[in-house]
Amino acid sequence: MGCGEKDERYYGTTSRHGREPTTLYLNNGQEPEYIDPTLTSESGGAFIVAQIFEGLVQQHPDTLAPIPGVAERYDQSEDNRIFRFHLRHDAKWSDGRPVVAGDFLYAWHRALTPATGARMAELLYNLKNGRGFHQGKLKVLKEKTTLSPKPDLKGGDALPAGQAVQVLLQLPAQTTSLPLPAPRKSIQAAELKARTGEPAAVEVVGLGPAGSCNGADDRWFEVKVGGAQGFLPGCALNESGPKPTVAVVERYTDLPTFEETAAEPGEGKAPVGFVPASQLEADLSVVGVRAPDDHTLEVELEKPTPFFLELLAYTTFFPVRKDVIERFAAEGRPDEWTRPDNIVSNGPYTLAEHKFRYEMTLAKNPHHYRADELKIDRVVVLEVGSYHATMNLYKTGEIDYIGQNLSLPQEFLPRLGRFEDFQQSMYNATYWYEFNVDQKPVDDPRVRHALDLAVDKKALVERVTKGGQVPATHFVPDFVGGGYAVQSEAERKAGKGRFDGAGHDFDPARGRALLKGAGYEIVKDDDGWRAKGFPDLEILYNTSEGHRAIAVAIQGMWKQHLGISVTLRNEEWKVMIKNLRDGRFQIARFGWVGDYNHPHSWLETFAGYSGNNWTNWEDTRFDQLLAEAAATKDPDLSMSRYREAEARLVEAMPRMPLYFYTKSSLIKPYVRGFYSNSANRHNVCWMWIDSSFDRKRGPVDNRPAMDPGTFPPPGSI
Amino acid sequence: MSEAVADDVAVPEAESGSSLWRDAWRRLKKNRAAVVSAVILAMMILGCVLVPVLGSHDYASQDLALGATAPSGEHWMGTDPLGRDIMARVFLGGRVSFAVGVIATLVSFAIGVTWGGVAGYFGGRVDSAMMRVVDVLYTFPFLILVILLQVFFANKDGTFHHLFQGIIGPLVEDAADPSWFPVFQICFVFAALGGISWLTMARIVRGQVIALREQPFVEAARSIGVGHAAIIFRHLLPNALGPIIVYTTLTIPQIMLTEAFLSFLGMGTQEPLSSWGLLAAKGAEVMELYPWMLVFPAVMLALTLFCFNFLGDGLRDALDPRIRKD
Amino acid sequence: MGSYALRRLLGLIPTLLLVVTLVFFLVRLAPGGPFDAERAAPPEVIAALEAKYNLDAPLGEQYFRFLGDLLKGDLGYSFKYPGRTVNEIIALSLPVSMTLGFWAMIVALTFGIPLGMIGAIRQNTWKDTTAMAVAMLGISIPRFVLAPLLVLWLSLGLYLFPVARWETWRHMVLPVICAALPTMAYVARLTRGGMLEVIHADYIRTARAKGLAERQVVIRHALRGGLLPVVSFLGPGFSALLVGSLVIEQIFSIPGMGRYFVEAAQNRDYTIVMGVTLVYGTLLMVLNAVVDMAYAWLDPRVKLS
Repeated sequence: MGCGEKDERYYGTTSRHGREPTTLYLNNGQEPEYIDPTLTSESGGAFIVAQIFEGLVQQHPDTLAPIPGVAERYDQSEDNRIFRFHLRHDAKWSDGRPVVAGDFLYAWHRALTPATGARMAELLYNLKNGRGFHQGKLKVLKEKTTLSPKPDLKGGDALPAGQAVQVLLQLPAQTTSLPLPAPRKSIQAAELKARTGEPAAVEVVGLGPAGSCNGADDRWFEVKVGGAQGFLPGCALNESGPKPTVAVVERYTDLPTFEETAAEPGEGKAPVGFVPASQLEADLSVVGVRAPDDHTLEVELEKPTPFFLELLAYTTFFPVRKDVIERFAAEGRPDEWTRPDNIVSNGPYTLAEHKFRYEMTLAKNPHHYRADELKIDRVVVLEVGSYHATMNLYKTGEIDYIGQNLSLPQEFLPRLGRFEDFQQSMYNATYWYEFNVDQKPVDDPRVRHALDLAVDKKALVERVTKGGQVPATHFVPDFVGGGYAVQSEAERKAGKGRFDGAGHDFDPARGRALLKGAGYEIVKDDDGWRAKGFPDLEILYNTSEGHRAIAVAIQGMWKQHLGISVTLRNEEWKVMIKNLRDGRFQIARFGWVGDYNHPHSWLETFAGYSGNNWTNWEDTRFDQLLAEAAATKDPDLSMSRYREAEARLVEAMPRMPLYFYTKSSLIKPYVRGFYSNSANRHNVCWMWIDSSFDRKRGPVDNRPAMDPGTFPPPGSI
Repeated sequence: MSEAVADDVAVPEAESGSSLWRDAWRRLKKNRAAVVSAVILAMMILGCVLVPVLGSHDYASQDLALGATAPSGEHWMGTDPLGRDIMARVFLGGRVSFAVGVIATLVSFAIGVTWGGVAGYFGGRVDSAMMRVVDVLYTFPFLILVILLQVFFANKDGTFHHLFQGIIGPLVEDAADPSWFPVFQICFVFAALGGISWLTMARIVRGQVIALREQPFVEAARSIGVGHAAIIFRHLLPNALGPIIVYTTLTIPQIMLTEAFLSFLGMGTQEPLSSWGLLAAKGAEVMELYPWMLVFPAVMLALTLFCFNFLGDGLRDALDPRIRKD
Repeated sequence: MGSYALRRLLGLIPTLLLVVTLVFFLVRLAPGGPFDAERAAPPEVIAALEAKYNLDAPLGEQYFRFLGDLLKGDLGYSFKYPGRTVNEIIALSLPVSMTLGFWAMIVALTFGIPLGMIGAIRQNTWKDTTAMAVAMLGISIPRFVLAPLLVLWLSLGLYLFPVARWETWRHMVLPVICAALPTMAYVARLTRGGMLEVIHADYIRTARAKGLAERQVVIRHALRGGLLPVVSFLGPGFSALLVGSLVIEQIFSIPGMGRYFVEAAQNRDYTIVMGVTLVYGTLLMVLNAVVDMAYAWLDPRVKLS
């Protein structure tokens, strides 16, 4: 307990009375949903997985640069599309068996299998054909099948068994209530009676020519709907009913070759036709990853991906043991393989004990190839959900660190700032408000800009959040890697900060002018401004003290500067997400934490196809810019395109950026090997306890417990 | 959370009706704790009515530059981190807390008395069925009910909100003004709390009515053709008023405490309105930084609850007919 | 007595069935499902999850399946905590809550009854007022105010007790005290009220007339009558402790069952909501039955119907 010396420089006691010298104590906030690498999607689980499993690539504890993990070196193609990883020979699982490439292959395949239910499967869409496979669009023919020109399956040419096909549509089908794209001049769209929200059954009678829909490749189908006959594009149709009988497929040849040259496109246009749906099966070999031998993993990506190595640090790419998982699945208890008695993992630590919703204990993995170098033998991970209790436990020395998954309460931040064990760093996340651009009054971009300009973001971070956050006028944090930070710096230095100055910074007068331009007259009352005729507006946020404080402050600012009264509504997370999905909101609190250290992670959430875009805002030009930026080989050119895309977003303002997060933490002065980084990734394997910390003078030795190492320069393919 | 009050206050004789009340009043006046409590409560209510009107600060206006400050000449109870005057918020919070306590109790009173009265009077199958409903609801963990009720009904597009807007429509200048929504949410909290606390009241009333219905005056009234409703509401219930009054007075603080509990969980009063419970919950979080944010609302709440409890106990002592002058 | 017990326990079943049905439909009709999470999961994933938990079947079918499983004692798996059955979760958390509740009840009775006695014997004196004021602390100051204050004083200030968690007997002291206080208030009030009734009753006068020492009179006759209302309070009082302890569990980080009442409803974790409702309801009704039987044994005038 907390008896003993109190050093005024630090928050709470610094004596380790009653604590073991090689055990680290910390708090992970709450019970993780999964500690299965393929299934983990929240930060609590990700933290535990990062300690007990190890992927191909790790991140340097300080710079976050990719460093060797299970892969000791790699080869890469010129265009960033093909990678070959060479695995070390001495990596072992906690039961002594060697880690082989097949373990990675199994894990990645498992993530892409829909039945697994991996929420982060989208990360594997970077693999060639990953998206197509996961969405059930890419299949393989079981037997030699005839590709018929009509749905009656008569006649046509045969395709061989094992031929890959792309499924365009499965029948029976129905139309959706989406607005239809304008038809091509020579084809008439089927006339439909206006049906809002109710899907109408469609009979597909034939195929039409290829086309495009919303910027993506598509095909026209000849259909009969109700009494009308005509053509509809594929994007307006979707499958109805549980058991498809016939599928419209197109021969697919864009299979991974694992070489820089692309696959043969095949003679002429790909044949399209109808096949029985029963002939289709899922085959993971269409996906761009293979393991030619136990220590080599080859990856082919969908397109040049400059951030692929950073991506591999994500838990979904970690290996898992097929035999263990399948054994428990066969016994009907698939989720129990991660219990301490059953789990087999390959990281520096193993799960020794798990007291449900109370604490977890991790112990050193004796088979890990660096087990001798680890300085921390055990980690006790508490699951304390209350801020107050956590701070008290830190004060009495029962935990060594606060900041992993449970942040410090914002009111305490200024007061904690004067303690030496307090650390604050930028965090790669942005806090913003989403607008639902289908709803009045925020359907008008002038109103959106007015609302943005009337928020004093500086006052917000100084007075309300008080965590040293950075006010934001755009969406990607300035310090993000991949070259973004470099370009942002350069622009600022040249005095041409793209997102600074007039039209971006706090400017209530300009806001009022915009509002007036949008048709709302602003008059001066005795108690301030009043906007006449401004409709109802509501801010939705998920129940939390922090979000409430911000919403209340913004409510006050809009009243003060624009004369509008908004209401606040808070709901618990699940209900809010449902409302976001259904579009039942006008303004909602949201934000984005970068999955990897590259602007693509943030910008993709604005794309029309993104499942994380609740705003109903879509811009084909933006989607195009984004795709171009990702495909550009030249990193500088790529980054300028990203910046250009972002500028387009700021101009349209489908979301109102508020600030870039910081992460505050308290860490005892005797913990070494801990570095503040923008991803808030702190792996225990680099840390050690300096029991003589108070007796030392001079500069502190904060080297990690073991040498992170670096990748040798990549070979070429 | 209901309390099983196993009070068997005996039924007064019909002829000593009026002197019972006078006796009770006399006994109550001698109970100093109860008298002092009543006085304090009266002052508290007066304060909550007057201070928000007469005070110089508004409960919702923020001053971010000021932030949280300790009590001073300008702000007698200090300010919160958004620069809002605590005193204004405490007295507004008092209004809300009292309103919640009284209105929810009235709701619970109305439902409980009617339910128990009807069940006790008719007896037999009707009684069985009605009490079975009470049993089932009793066995229900009320928190789950409150959460589900909130999620279902306390939203902007729901029928209840439209009903509320219809009711306040003629009374206020602009019923559609969105700042009325937190008031609706509060009313919803009243209803939810009242809706779960009528159970014990029903049981008590039923017990009383069962004991009373065999009285000769009831039969006399039936024989001259007085209707069931009239008998229940005009003859039986007034004679059972003693324990009803006691229990009602004791329900108010219980409800206020439950509202504080709900506010602590984030399901009670919503910003920018305040209640003592919400203020105390927020204050408890930051008590090491800004102790005045906890002290004032907590003291007001505790004092009020103490007073209600003493008053209720005093009423019970006073209305117990078996107490003789000793 | 035995047949009465049996009849009472059998009478549990229809009420429980009604409660369970009510909860089943209410919680499923609330908007939002158990799988709405932060990331917009691809629809294929959501469909796979729903199929795994049988959520894609019509509501009626789900209900009958649930009843069938219930008869086998199978409450299903939790939605929020994969791989954990409701039975397991309850088996881990209920004992903790019961321990907390049990000791809290002991403390409440140990201090509440004497305070009530002082109040009754010294009615309307300053001793009465003081005793009742102390007793009322629990229902006049919210626990989320009292608990942090106690921690600040006794744990961080005087180093007497740990600040949180549930390990040794020392960890139990503060949570038990905080949990006990409201119950103590009710116990004191009931004792006082019950004793006052008896004290002023005629047969006490008779006993006094017979010349027994006043102390004996009080203890032997009045207390017995004063305890009757306390006994019948034990059932609902203990169950209320279970639910109300959620604040204590949150503040002291104790792995009890109380937190599920709120969390499970908020997470739409259907199976856990059902599990805790069942436990709460069963406990309440069993305790009430036991208490009624104890009541009959204590007061010879009471007949079990």
